[in-house]
Amino acid sequence: MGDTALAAYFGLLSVGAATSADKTMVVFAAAAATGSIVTQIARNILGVKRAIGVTGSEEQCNIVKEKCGADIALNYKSPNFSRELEEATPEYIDIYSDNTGDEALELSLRRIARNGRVVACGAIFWYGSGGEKMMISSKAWMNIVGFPTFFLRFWTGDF
Amino acid sequence: MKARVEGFIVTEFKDRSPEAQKQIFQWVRQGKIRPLKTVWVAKFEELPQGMVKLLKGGNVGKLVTEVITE
Repeated sequence: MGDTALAAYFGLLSVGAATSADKTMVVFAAAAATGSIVTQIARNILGVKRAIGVTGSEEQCNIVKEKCGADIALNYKSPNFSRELEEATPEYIDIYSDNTGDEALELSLRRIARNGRVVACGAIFWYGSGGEKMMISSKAWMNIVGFPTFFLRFWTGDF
Repeated sequence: MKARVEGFIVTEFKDRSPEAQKQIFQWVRQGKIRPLKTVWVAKFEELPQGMVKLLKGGNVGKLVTEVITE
């Protein structure tokens, strides 16, 4: 145990300021060195209501559920991943522990809760692509910025 | 919606690392946290493949390389 466990600890508790009041937490690369500790702190120490671990295989999903205590494990390689993530986060995402970047980050930003926090801990997709592959859509970006409710209502015609 | 995105590098918390380590070890002793690892046994000349393995993913917990010496 070394830097990866410390990254899990400080990322979740200091940078993410996670508490037991947070309802939904999503951890990407949840079976890996940092993610597996993040999931366990969230579930076993903080006791967040919904700890969701995302991995790249069924085998890793089982480990995340059995050994890390995740309530839900999702495989990002599933053709329906986007919908599965949506269904797993009915109250949106309070804390998103990002270790990968790219599409996973994009999808999670779209599901981020009001006052949600994204802990940017790593970007493994980016390391593997020579820095080419990284994109966040304006739709996801506007969830970070936030709009006054008035504009949102105006746009959706919900007067 | 309004959210916060914040990056960090673990060395920023160097001053607080001893205290964090103490806490994590306590959780491990109490059985609340279980560190996971995958051991990969390789010859010295195969070591660069370890980096490829790490980036590909598939390991559970920390990827540990055990070097075979003849």
